[in-house]
Amino acid sequence: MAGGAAAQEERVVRGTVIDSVTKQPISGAMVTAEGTNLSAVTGSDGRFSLPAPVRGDVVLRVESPGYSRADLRLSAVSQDARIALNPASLTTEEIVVTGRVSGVKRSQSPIAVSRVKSEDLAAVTSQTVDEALSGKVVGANIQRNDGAPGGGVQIRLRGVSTINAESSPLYVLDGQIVSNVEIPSGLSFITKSTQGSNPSPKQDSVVNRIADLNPADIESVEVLKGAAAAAIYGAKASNGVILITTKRGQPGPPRFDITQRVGFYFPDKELGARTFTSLADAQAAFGPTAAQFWRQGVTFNHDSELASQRSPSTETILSTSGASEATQYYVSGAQRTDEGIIPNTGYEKQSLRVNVGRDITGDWHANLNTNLIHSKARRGVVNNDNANASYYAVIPFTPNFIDLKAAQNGVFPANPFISNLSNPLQTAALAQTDEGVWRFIASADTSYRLFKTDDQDLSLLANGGVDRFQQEDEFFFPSSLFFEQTSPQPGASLFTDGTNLVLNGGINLLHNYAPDSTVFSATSSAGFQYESRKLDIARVLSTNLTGGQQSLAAGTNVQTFQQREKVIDRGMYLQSDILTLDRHLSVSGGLRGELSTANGHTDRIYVYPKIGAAYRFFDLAPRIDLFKIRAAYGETGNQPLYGMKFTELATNSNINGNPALGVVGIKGNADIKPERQHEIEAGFDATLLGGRANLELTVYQRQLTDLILLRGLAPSTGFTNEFFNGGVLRNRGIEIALDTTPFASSLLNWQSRVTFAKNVSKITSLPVPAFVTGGFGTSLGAFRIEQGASATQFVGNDGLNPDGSCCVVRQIGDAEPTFRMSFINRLSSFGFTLYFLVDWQKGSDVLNLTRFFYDLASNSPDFTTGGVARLNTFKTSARAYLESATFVKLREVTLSYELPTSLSTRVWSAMRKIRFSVSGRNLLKFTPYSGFDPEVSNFGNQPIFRNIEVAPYPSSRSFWTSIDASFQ
Amino acid sequence: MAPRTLSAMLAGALLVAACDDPGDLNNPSLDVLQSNPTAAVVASASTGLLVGTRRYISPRNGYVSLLGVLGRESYDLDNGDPRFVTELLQAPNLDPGTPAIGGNLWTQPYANIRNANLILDALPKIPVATFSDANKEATRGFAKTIQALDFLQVINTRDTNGAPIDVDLPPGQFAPFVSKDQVFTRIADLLDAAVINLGNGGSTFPFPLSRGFTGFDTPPTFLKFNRALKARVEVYRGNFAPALTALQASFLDPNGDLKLGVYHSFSNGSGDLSNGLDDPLIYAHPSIQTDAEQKPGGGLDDRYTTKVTTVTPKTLQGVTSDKGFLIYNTSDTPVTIIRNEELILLRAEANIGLNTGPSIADAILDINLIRQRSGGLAPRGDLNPANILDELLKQKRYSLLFEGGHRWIDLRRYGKLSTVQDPGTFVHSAFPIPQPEQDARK
Repeated sequence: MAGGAAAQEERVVRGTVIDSVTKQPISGAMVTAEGTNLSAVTGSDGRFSLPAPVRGDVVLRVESPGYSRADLRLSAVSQDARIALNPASLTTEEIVVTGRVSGVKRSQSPIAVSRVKSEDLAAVTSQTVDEALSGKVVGANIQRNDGAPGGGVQIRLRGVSTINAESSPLYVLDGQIVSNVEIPSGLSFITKSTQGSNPSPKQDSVVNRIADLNPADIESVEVLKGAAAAAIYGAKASNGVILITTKRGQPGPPRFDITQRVGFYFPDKELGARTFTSLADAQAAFGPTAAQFWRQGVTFNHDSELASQRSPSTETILSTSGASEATQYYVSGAQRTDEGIIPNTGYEKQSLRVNVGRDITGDWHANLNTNLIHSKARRGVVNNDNANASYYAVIPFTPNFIDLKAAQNGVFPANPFISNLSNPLQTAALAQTDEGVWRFIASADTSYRLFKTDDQDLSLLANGGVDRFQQEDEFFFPSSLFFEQTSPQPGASLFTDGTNLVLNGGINLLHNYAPDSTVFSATSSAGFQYESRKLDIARVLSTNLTGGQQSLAAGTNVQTFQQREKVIDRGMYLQSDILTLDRHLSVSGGLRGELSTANGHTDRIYVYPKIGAAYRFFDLAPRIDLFKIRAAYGETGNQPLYGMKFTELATNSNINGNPALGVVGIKGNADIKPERQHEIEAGFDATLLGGRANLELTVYQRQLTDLILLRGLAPSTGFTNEFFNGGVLRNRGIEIALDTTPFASSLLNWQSRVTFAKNVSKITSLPVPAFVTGGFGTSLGAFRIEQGASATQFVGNDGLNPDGSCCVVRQIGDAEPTFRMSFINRLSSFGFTLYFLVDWQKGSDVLNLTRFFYDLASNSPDFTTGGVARLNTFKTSARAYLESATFVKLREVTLSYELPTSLSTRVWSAMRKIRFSVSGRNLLKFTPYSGFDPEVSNFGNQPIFRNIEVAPYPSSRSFWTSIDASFQ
Repeated sequence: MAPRTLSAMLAGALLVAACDDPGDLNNPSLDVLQSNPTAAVVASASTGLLVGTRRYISPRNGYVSLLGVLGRESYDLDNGDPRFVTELLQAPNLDPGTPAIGGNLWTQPYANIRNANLILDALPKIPVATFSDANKEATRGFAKTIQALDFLQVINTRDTNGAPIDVDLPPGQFAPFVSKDQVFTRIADLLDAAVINLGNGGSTFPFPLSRGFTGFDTPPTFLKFNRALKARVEVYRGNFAPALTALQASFLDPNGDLKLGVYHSFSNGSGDLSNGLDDPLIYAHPSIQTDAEQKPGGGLDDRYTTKVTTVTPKTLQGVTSDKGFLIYNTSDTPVTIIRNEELILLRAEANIGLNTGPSIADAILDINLIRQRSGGLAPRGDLNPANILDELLKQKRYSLLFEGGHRWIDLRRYGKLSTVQDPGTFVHSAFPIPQPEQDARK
């Protein structure tokens, strides 16, 4: 009988707990009634019964190892509960993005999904979000460019996607496109790296600005690797799209989380130098000056004297979040200070995030997410150099019998073995390379339900956002530096100011049709987006500084430089996801149309379609719980870079100070259009053994057409080169991921993830003659774009011509790895958890020019045995300095202990959780590579010519102890 | 549904509204000069013609230095880049594929020729209110003269290989190659057309010229420079009477400063170009000393002693020199385009070419004037039609030493390159058509 009286009656609550996937009962699950001390454990039939009756509504919390916790509110009139737990290693019910505002359940997705959750992202602390993703996304090749603090990581998804256009993936933060530009600091003006045979300005150790985000704020990262997934992002998505969602307030009372860490960075390798056992040897290599310094048995370790800084690094994160009925909030503040291993280098970051969401009415919800970030990186004087400024451009040419350390009075000795007396320890102590960034990202989105019936609902969604940052590089090279003293204009002060503004706005309609019958259900959406981005880089280089002052006004020679860009994009899309055939078949399709001012024809709409389907077999075989086959096709584009459509009249020359204009050779193309990627992806997902294993396999082929290339023109036209669209690049690959739970008991829970990825690229059509790109010429090894060859092939001298002249030039290696595997394991037992990530790369080659410097100076540790032979080989073969980049790295490891809630609340009643951990990043590295680290790129983030090492910042490992506590 | 109609309207608005193209934020683009030229842009572009025409003159691999090597006025001995010896001296043929050795002497003049064509095409489109007809005419005269100078320097390097001249075509279309004579005809026509323009050009140019044009920076005075170039061109073509006529309208002055003339100007200012010919890797050819005449009072030809000095000897690949130049001793020394001394010698050359009694006598006078004024040498009384050409060529060699490949060009014109003594090396007579030009036309 209904009514108040019955609602207040006591009853014994009982029920059944089953596995949501297999539908089998779960035994040993703990069921607790919130707010009481009543609990029960399920039996082998999955049934439980609370020991005492309760009255009124009760919330049952059900937990079982290997499953996600579930809460079920049982109304006062109910007595029997049926609770289905999701296996924790699977997240079959999570929503994955298919459109700008829509998604499907992972189990229905027609594409391979890569998702990294916050517990994996932040398992070991890292300075930047791109580094935190290393090894965690199958098919993603995420590599550092050098060991310098504060970023400098490149992400390539499924191989090479372009030659001359943008190579960075698109980053979307809470539905808003954020900036991923790289602003060179201008260090190349000091190191004169552009004066050699490669004038690329990216030798400045450039950082992709996605590095500013705080990894601890991130709830999950979803990676759309190929066109089949990313088509809805149109002409910016050819390199993939990385969707980042930040944390939101969870329902419940407010909680406070605090994390405090202390750690240290250590160098992980020393290159060493040759030890001279006799004065004669020393003089043979270093000339008569050696006699002034060489002593039998006395050597100095310049590697460790340079990488001598051991200050502790700290990180503090405070956050509070919660949700009441209508409002959710998440506020976090983070502060991080890392000292680099070289003096005067390091990274610090402060970040404040406020995410607020509110249900304004039942139908109207709004979110506001804001983030204010300040970071300062000091990345040192590194990379290619023609001025004897970079540390490792000088150390190879300096013998280990000279003491370079400062005397008692702080004065550094000159280094007589270098023509301009440059002393790398002095450079490290006196040169300032500050790169500071202030960034503000804000986004707001709102959804308004226009109407709702039992079967369907329609919502209007609008979003807008702004991302503005200002990067200021203030570099100071005082005239007391030896390499400045011998310069015609001693003392240099460099100021680079890069300002970037990205604006997003969009309006969408989202329609859901989900009738009770399972014949057909669909989610459809359509919308418009407006995106604009603006970049302004101004640089002042002031040399010949008066009185050693840093002020730009103190120099007698001042050079200025400015570059500005602005691009406005508009787009529209239609998207629909259909589930039919009794929820076995899901079909997804969409169309995206985009216009951009970067294209030659700004009013032309470029259309990017996609279509995909997935069919699920339930209970296909006894051990196979779920089997899904899927296939998808999609197209994305890569916009021309700003300015490619213009033929510019150069204004930077003058004659006697009179301004002048003139053509300079490169002809823009008024018809230039985006590159286009067509991708077919197919694969299957299988859930096996009662949810204990999950296997995903994907094969794909990507064709990139209309590549933006440069072709030679007849110089008599007045122009030498022109951009045009042509050529075809193809990537084929396979990705396999196996998640298993080898042990899932109350004694030990072990989750394991093994991934394998392989990609092969080929230039299948090239309408211009083969051309060399990147590197320093074929005698040292360079990259060549050539029809029929891999896009990342190394070519170089490889033996004499038949007539005895030097040399035959052919492929000597490839920067693409043969395959990559990663192993992620999490073992937990009685509150202890051990987590580790091992990353294995097989194959791939690196050109080690730092070793070439050592050999040229007769100073490599193995000079007499190896160096001499290498130099001899080098006369006819560039293979001398091409090394294998195979490595096995223990990238991340954490051992933590979490106090049971019952004990932690005894310490402090509000403390729900306290966890102590020790962790390490890059602790172990096994590689035949002789340099610091086979993940290296002198030229920074490049689509093609990575894997060249010239005087990088040494790599390091870090070791941390942390305390995480949650209060409620 | 009101919201639906609203979104539909928005849709229409977003699609239909023209995308506001931010345009080129860094440099003016070609469209500006082609479709909407303004007086300021054309003025800067005109000054830019002087930037473009000097760009390939002064580097180590520029016009003066490379033609100097070919004519054995100079050597370039660089351990780091032995191509100046291996390619220019020792290889049996010059390489069409090396952009930095010879290819730049094609690419950069043609870039400047394109600049001149852009200006000439843009001039009619500028409103007269901002740029008077006189200004336009003056600019036309200037642009045509500089364009003629660039064509001249192209054909000087390519000689009988010919060159394309009607290059003011839309992109993708190639002008046909024409013969050397036709190129010279075009050069002469451009110079003559410029005369008419300059005559209508008023008294000032609407844009600044460089320091090297001091004294020649108004349309009437610039005209004299134009006629000087015309004289040189007509002598090269073998049209000696028109050459003399042109010389009369030029700034030739036998009693005036021999250095009076027009120069490429350089400086070390920010954004400006400095003169790269003061590079210590450039050496003077030893034959300059061995072939120099003695002065009556002792010592060698003044032109030798003021222009050449002894330096530490250097040998590269078997090529040796112990001499260096004094001419360009700082990085802002100007480089001659054409000056009085050459005009006097051109008059002599034209008179020799006419080969009449009176003309030979005039030539002897001019030659002896130069011998005395410039070289400090005694005048020669034994000059006659048989030996006067060689004497003239020798005087030109020393007077115009290392100023722009004159020795090479002059010897070639008279078929006398074989008289150059440099055993073990090849004396080339012309640069080939550059590989990129050949490739693009396939």
